[in-house]
Amino acid sequence: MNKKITAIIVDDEQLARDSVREHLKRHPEIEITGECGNGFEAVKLVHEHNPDLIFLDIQMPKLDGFDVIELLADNLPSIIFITAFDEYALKAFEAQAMDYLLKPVKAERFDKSVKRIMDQVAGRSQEKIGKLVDNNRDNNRPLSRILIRDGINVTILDPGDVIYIEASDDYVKFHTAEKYWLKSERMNNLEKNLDPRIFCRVHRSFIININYMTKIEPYSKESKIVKMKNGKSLPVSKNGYSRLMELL
Amino acid sequence: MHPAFRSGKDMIVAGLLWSPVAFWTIILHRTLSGSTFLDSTILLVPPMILLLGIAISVWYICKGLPFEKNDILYFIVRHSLTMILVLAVWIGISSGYSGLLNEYLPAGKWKELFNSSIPLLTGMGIFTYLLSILIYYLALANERIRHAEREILQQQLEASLSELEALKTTIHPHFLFNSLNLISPLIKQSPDRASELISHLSEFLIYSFEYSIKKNSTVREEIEHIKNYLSVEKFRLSERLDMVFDIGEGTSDIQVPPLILLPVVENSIKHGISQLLEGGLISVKTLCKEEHLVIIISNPYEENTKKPRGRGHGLNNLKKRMKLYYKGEGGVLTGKKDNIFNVRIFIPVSGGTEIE
Repeated sequence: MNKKITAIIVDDEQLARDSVREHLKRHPEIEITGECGNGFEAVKLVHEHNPDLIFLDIQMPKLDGFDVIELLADNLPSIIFITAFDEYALKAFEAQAMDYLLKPVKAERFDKSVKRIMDQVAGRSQEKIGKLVDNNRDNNRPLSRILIRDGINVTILDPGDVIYIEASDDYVKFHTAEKYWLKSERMNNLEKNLDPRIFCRVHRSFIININYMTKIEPYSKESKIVKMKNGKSLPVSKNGYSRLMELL
Repeated sequence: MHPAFRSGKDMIVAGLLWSPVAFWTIILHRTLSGSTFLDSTILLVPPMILLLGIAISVWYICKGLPFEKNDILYFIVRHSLTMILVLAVWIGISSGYSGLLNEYLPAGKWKELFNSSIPLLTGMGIFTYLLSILIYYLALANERIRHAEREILQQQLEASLSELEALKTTIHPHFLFNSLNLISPLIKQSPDRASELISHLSEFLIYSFEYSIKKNSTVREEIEHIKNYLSVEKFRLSERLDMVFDIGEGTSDIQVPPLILLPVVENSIKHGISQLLEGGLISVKTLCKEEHLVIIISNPYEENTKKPRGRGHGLNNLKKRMKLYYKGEGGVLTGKKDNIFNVRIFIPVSGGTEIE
């Protein structure tokens, strides 16, 4: 392998980033193309540099390491997780048998992780990482925020501002009063994570926020139409209608 | 619960108290009226049993009428009236009983015999009533003392639990781990700064551990302690953490319980500064105001950030500690305004301390 591997370092502590740089001096085959101190910039850096590898800290303000992975889901480089002692994060890793480095990082462990990454041509299993992110979500609690990446910009949506959600191929559209936001996610998965007291799947392709509902009108024998506060009319299926009635 | 029914032993004691009273009443009656022992027994045993019932019920009157020194007249009048009423009813019922005896037993002397024994019965009734209330008030006082003792023990237990909890947060493992993680890269980069970090950390630890044997500390020591803590955090958060201290004149030497400031600044870091991309300023201010020392700690925060996981008992525990320590004279208030979170600690200043 002649081509160098490119890597970025993401950690909110300068000293921790320095520490990774220090370790990487032993690995001239890895070139550091950038470093940053929070999740927002991490998303930007990945977009700009398209690195092969990220050294990713878990504990960061606002967007933590798991959030960054969720946002990069469609374009995920190989990742070496670095975490301080945190029982929750460690549990998440262990549940998926994922490799991670615990601070302070020992040279031997660092080299082992780097070697493992170098051996993996295709990077690590995407499926495992997806599960890791899911696992890290608090399963008992509904989503308190929706993370959306639009190119290099990250937006944090409050679920309460979402009027309705529309399925669109492999994406979902979050419609708010101003505009809509696209996110790569499956409806079924999303439905499970939303607050069931506010959100209702009225149709195969639509989930509505009942706080923005104005009225329900009959459409045909089998189906109805729900009118939303922003003027949109959405179809309600037979099952969707009974789900809605149950919720109301 | 009635004292005579609390245990078998108490019931036996009540019975033992009653039997001689009943026995001597009968003997006295026989001697005074010259009747036979059998006659006296037939006439007096049912009224004496009724008297026992009265003695037992007097407990509830005593419970409803606590003995208070400043209202002794009311106390005496209430009991006298109650006693007269109860005894009149008792004598009335007993007299009715002697009337029944007259009807059903031969030799209709019962009524007469009873009437001659009314003074004796009245005396015995008064004696029994007074004896009962004496016993009951002693029992009530005893109960109150035991209750107070239990309360004090309970409070002491709660206080020690809060202290223990405070001590546990002092030696927060995450803080120690984070600090150690900083030292290792720093040693290579800048041995001088590494040694600076270590000295802050060790001073922080010394104070934290010493606390377990100390009851009191001063504002100066407390401020020094959180300065050490924040200095260590500054290594971790670098430019994201700023701090400013404004120590009011004459406040430094005021005595305070140890480790009251640490949970507050820990909270400021955990839920405030470390959740903000740009970080922010922690400000600590002390001043004297109307016989209170006031310590105000504030930090920026943002609503709707991902909540850091953890128990977050630090502030609640501090509130509890202060309540137990100052019994309502001091306390902790928190407030939010314009994305600034502030904690105000109020500590009563005892007379001698200099106040501006």
